[in-house]
Amino acid sequence: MRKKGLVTGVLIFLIFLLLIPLIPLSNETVLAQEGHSVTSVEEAPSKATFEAPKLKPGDYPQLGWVKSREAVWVAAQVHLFFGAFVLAVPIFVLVIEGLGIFTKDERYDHIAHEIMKVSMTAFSLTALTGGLLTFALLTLYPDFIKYLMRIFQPTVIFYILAFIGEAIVCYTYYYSWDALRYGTKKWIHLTLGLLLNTFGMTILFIADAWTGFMMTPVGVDAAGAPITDNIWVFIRNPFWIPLNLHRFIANIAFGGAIVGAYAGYKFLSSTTPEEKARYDWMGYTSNFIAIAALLPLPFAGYILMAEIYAYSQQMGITAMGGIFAWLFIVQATLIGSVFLGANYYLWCGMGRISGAERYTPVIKYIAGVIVLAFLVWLTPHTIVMTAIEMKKIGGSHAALLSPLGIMPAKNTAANTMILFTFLSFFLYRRANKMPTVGWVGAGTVVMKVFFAVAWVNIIFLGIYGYLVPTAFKVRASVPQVLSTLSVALILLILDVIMHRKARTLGPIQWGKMSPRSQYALFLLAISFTWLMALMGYIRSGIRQHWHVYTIMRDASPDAYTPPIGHAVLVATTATVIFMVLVIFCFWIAQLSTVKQEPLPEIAGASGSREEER
Amino acid sequence: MKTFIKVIVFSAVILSVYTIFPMTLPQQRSEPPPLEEKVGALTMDKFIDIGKDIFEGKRGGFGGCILCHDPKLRRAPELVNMHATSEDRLKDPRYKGKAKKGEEYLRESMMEPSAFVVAGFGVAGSNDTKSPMLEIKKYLKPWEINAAIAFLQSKDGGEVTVQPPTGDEGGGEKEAGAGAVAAPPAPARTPQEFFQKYGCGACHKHEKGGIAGALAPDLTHIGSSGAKRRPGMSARDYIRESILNPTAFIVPGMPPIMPPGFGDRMTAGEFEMAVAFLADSK
Ligand code: HEC
Ligand code: HEC
Repeated sequence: MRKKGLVTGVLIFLIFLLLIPLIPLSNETVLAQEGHSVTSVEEAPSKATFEAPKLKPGDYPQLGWVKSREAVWVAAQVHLFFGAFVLAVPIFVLVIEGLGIFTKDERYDHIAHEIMKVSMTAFSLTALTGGLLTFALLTLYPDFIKYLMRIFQPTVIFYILAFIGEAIVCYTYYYSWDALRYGTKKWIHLTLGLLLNTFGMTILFIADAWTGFMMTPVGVDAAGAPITDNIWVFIRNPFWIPLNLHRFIANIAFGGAIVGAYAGYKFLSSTTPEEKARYDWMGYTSNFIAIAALLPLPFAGYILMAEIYAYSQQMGITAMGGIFAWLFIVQATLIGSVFLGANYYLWCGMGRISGAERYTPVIKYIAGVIVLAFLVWLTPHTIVMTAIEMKKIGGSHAALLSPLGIMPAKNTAANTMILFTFLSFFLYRRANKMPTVGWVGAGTVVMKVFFAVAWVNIIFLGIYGYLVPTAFKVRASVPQVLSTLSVALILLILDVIMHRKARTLGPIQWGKMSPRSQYALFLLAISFTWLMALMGYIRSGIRQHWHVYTIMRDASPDAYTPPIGHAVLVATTATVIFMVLVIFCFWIAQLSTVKQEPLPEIAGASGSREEER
Repeated sequence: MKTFIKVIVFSAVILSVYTIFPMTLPQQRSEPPPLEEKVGALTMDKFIDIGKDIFEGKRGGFGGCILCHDPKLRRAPELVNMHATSEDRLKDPRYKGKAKKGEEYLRESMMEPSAFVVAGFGVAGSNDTKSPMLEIKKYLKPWEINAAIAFLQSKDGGEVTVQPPTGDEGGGEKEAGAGAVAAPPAPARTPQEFFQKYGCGACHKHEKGGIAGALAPDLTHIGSSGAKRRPGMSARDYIRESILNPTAFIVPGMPPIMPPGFGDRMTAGEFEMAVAFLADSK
């Protein structure tokens, strides 16, 4: 009897938690987010006297057959790929290494070490492509880059210092791995890892300040002359924090996806069961990291868009209407396929778990829901108009929406996809365990009800979103997200408690995985890479014909906004170049015979091991 | 090796799908707005084109003559056959101005609109002695006014009597004549400058903003009235919307004539400043 009361109590409490976010945010909160001033500048009026140069087409050197914009574009994109990869690798290598210490599971340390090993060449390639990009910018866009570097002069020195620091610590960290393997020394090694990440983040944050300034310049007057000597004002432009956040998370997802593909390839070409088991586990772990980082990414993206709107409505409209709107549809397709791929991989993974049979019947329903949500997500939300039409109706597309195409529907679909992907993962996690605690029945009911209530809540909010003006639509998305997050959090906590003294139904048989499942890992890596190129283009493209938005005009012949087809070709080119170079990195790493490798690489000698994707 | 090839082929297929799908979407290249031309020696055609741009609001920064002289709006006389009409006006018994030629009449209409007010178009209550027309000379240089005249004269087949600027006469445009690419006009620093620059005053009134148009709602207290226009929308949001997308909501009883393109032309800083100023106009 008392137990029933308790269960009801817990349920009511949880449902209450779900509803809290419904209490509307006050008007002030919304305004405070939107209305921050664009030009506020503190103290220190500037002594510097220079303006953004006003360029003519002739000010842009042309190098014969080289297409300036494409050259810089590809160089920047490939450099960014490598930058993202080598920033991400130390983050999760450090986390995995730490996990290894706490769980005393040797596998963690091995995988961390191996990831570091295969990424070493990538560090050099990052520097190399960075050099290429700088060279391309200096030769093809000299006046622009001089202006930007003049504004950011002091940061350039820090950037270079951080870069040198990164290189030194990176080599030390990698080569001292075995020397600092055990005991207190391991902690020194972890500290090195932390230092490596600090340098990495510094580099990222400085570069983001430059990019952010190009998007949302502050601290200069309309002619581009600095109105303050306080460099911090330029750095802390409205775009900076959201960009840092977004890139940080995306880098982890990206790095995880690339390493996952590496593991997938090694798995496929492994010949011994031990090797297969090892790489299966590595693939699973990397994929897990990638997907875990992917889940919050849409929210970070949302903050980024909100910041763009707050800074310049015009830029926001450029991004969400017109030709760029199509690219968001392309993006949705890719993210959708990433989600399907990730779920497929999890479902295949249940094959290695005894006890998972219990959940097999559920999977087809999960798959059904996810596919449905995917389709809703794909429904185009604008019928794209020509620039002239856009102008005529003032950049709005309100009249042309189809009911499934508007934001509440998209949010509902996205949250549903995330919720059910979580469910896949959740079932996977508990597949080989049988709880022994007394309240299993009640606990399961609580979980089911909570999940159901949350989903109903998400759908209800979606419908509610149709009935209210835009400001509320945006607001309705907050409780939707919170519903999703609280389900994930609370179900996981309950589940952990429930399975405390659980009986296992058998070990996870690592390596018992169909070869086909590994292709999900490749799909993920390719999708992430290409997606990054695409989103990077959108981010940069919405500046339109400006080097620095509304401050410094791009007067070069390349100032136009290219058609989508042109843009995706460049994205694909950059992706292919990156893939080839990554394969090269992994191949090089393979060549070096690594003595401390506990499992001799038999396959390495067989020639089948060119590398990986 | 077999695995390697399989993986490569798989990847190539995925990448191709990703690349080809967007190619099936509408392809459209959008050109940046033109860099401003050199003022200096202009051909007559180019000169008339500039006049047309002024007329249509692409140049001059006040929204264009079309703001009022759009025949659909009936706010101002339709400007047709001006080469002939201008001569006729001089013979009008009410005409008391100084012009002797059609060209001079047209110039006077822009420099001192009240010198002669077309019957029925004067400021309400002034008995056609005061013109509601903008003081164009605040926005246009003398040679640009000539360009507008050239456009009006040539538009319906009349003879153009004004000459394009030559060489460094260039309308006295030293820096433009030197071949520099004109920067976008300096951004407004105060709300007053803002209203001037974008010609809001052609239609709106705002006491502190120093504008006194009479064709559109008075904005003096828009900070409080704006909050009541649309349920659930704050004054600030409403004002943003009114400027960026004027047709989203039409004030009852008002004609839908507010031009939609303002958002394209102003800088983010200007826009934010104006919105903040208007939202505070309680
Ligand atoms: C704010 C609204 C407004 C704007 C903007 C405006 N006008 Fe007018 N204009 C009027 C009104 C009202 C009249 C009629 C009263 C008068 O004659 O002054 C008029 C009269 C004229 C006349 C005399 C017409 C006739 O039949 O005699 C000419 C010529 C003229 N405008 C030219 C221009 C040109 C060229 C521009 C752009 C550079 C322009 N106007 C911009 C409102 C405007
Ligand atoms: C051609 C005349 C015209 C010009 C120029 C013009 N407006 Fe308007 N505006 C109108 C009219 C007419 C309305 C009322 C109809 C509507 O809501 O669209 C209006 C409505 C508004 C409103 C909503 C007023 C209310 O009471 O709800 C605001 C705010 C506004 N305009 C701001 C501006 C600003 C700022 C500018 C200059 C950048 C400007 N307008 C230029 C004609 C004009």
